[in-house]
Amino acid sequence: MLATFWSVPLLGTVLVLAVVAVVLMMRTMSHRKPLSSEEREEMASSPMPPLQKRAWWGLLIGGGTFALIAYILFTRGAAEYWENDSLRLTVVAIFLGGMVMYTGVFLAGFAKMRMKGQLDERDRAILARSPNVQSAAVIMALAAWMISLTEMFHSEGAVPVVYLYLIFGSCILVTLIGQSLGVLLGYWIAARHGES
Amino acid sequence: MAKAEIRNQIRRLRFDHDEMTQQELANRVGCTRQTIVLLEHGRYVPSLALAFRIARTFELNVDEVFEFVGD
Repeated sequence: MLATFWSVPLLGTVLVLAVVAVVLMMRTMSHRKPLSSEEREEMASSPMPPLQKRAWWGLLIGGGTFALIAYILFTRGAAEYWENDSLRLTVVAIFLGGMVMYTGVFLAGFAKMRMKGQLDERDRAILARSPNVQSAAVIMALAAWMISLTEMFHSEGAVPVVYLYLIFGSCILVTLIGQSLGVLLGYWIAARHGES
Repeated sequence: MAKAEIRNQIRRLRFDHDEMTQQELANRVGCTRQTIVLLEHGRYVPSLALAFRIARTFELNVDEVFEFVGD
């Protein structure tokens, strides 16, 4: 009971910290004067760079895969996932399917864009900064896991093995989502404050 | 350290070259149109390579296109 009582504010704290981290990062990156309305309109009328399009697709695939697996695990429970072979295989198939799609759309697409010369120096700079968001997202995911598992299994003194797989899988998906988010955030900031 | 600024004449040069569009210039120098938009408004400082490619497109020297304003 005590564990359940504390898990909500602790998870809430992690969420608040995540939001604060994003806000601080955006404030740090947006120290430049905001673009005028005319400049913004001109940016908006320009076609979306190929990397930005791929990042949207990456976010859709990564987010969709994550949401689908999370839905299955929340409705069926981790214990059933561990004991029911067909459920486990279904989740693994969704996970691998998402990974293959992400690799095809984002990573292989990135290699193709590079070969065709569709990536300019600004795209490369945005891509190079995206691991900042990736690492922050993974740390937040691990913090959420740590707090929720501690609260759930504190009295038992041990965490079931199944969670090792779930932690690993979720970190992989969060890495993919973080990469797409990092790229999109880079373009979003550039469209509002430019780059220097 | 005081912040330096790099101004450029890209917009004027585009119009002087048969009203070249931003997309045409982007295609010629190998960048996106968004980059040209940011460059024209002084919101992006290009690499030396891109600066040279832009200057070459207008058949000018780099310092005729870009101007360093600062200390």
